Amino acid sequence: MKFLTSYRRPLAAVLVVAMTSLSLPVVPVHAAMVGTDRVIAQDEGLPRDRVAAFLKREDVRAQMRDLGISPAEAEARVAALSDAEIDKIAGHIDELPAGQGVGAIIGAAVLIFIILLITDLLGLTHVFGFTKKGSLNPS
Amino acid sequence: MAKRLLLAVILSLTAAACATPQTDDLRRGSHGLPARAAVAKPVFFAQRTKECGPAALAMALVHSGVRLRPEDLVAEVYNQGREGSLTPAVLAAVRRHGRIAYPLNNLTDLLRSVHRGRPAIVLQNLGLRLLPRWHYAVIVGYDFGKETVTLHSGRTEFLEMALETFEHTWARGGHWALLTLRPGEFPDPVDEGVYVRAVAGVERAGRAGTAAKAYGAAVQRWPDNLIAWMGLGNSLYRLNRRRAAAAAFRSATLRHPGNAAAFNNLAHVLGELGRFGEAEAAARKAIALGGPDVATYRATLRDILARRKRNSGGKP
Repeated sequence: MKFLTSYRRPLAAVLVVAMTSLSLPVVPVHAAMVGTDRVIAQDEGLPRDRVAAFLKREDVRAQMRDLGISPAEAEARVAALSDAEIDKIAGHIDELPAGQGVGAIIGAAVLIFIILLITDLLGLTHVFGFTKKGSLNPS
Repeated sequence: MAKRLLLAVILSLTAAACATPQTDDLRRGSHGLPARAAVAKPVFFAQRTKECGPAALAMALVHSGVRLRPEDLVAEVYNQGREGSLTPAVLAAVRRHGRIAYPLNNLTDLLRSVHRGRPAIVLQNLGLRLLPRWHYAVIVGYDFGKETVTLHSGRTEFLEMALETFEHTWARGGHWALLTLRPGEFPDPVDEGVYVRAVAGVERAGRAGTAAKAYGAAVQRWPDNLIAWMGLGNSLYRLNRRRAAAAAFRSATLRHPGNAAAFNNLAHVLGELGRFGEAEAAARKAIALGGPDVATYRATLRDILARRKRNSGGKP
């Protein structure tokens, strides 16, 4: 107990620094070559365009309608999101199997999983326990 | 009323199940394809139980000059738990063996590749959508007169299957097909974007030599393709061929003077080659162009300046 009391301040300081650095976004700051995959990602357009293109895909829209989600409503919510929030969604789209970006045919199960992940973030569905519901919702 | 509704539902379901749009399209016109074609001397391996994935993959890879047997691929692609091979594993295996995995997803392109003498791996769902039976085979021929395709499938060599049946089973498999190309080989027709992305897959699999060769062929064919120039530079850099890498990045900057990444990579390599003046100029250009990776470009510049300082024995 004595130990805890005497070390409380420095311990707290260490914890504060550790927690703060954990929540900082990871920015690459070392001198490096830009990898080919990064060039491809930039070539595929801005995250906002990638998300918009994904929601425009006919298979995605059909799947959303099957799930009872209005594609127009999803598009409207996406349009209202900030760049940082869009990045989060674009990240999920980029997790599609390698070499199968926007425009490719992907397995139905994978597609539904990603749609639900995105619509969960948009607050349109409530399927996964690990997403913060409507965390990207413009309020 | 209910009866009529039921009838309508059944009719619409049958209609959906019978549609073979791509076969119908080929019946209307053959898109310049000859009436029949066959791959010359296609390799055949009879599959062992449930190992159609390794067998089909081996047939395609051996045909494109890789020396191996289906048994060699089992560990790489066969998934014991799923009793089959998943498509990403097949894709990865093609790349690991130094071949470019080029996807095809329409029937005309598939038949054209047969006509050009290239067998393609195809994924079929021989069962129903709800009760799938997945199967990999290799397409090696077709005949419009008989309306058939020829497959190396399972334990059967030259299996003839009605074109319509093939389209059904292939469509249920998600229109998934793959060519295994040598570096420098192009499919016909070829999509520039799909091709360079396929080569990027080979680069990602760590086959820098193969990737460099394929990117090299790609920049000859499409001299304005940024991804191909950058991929070429990155692969050559990985092979420790810095001078050649610098030349590739230089070409990228000349053809895409607005691309910051090209200037950054050029700066990085020139810095390592000790050409500090040019390196600094390129790094500053990358920073001026900016973009989401500007922190990396600044670090590149710092690195170049530090190198120069070390090189001149600490004197500025």
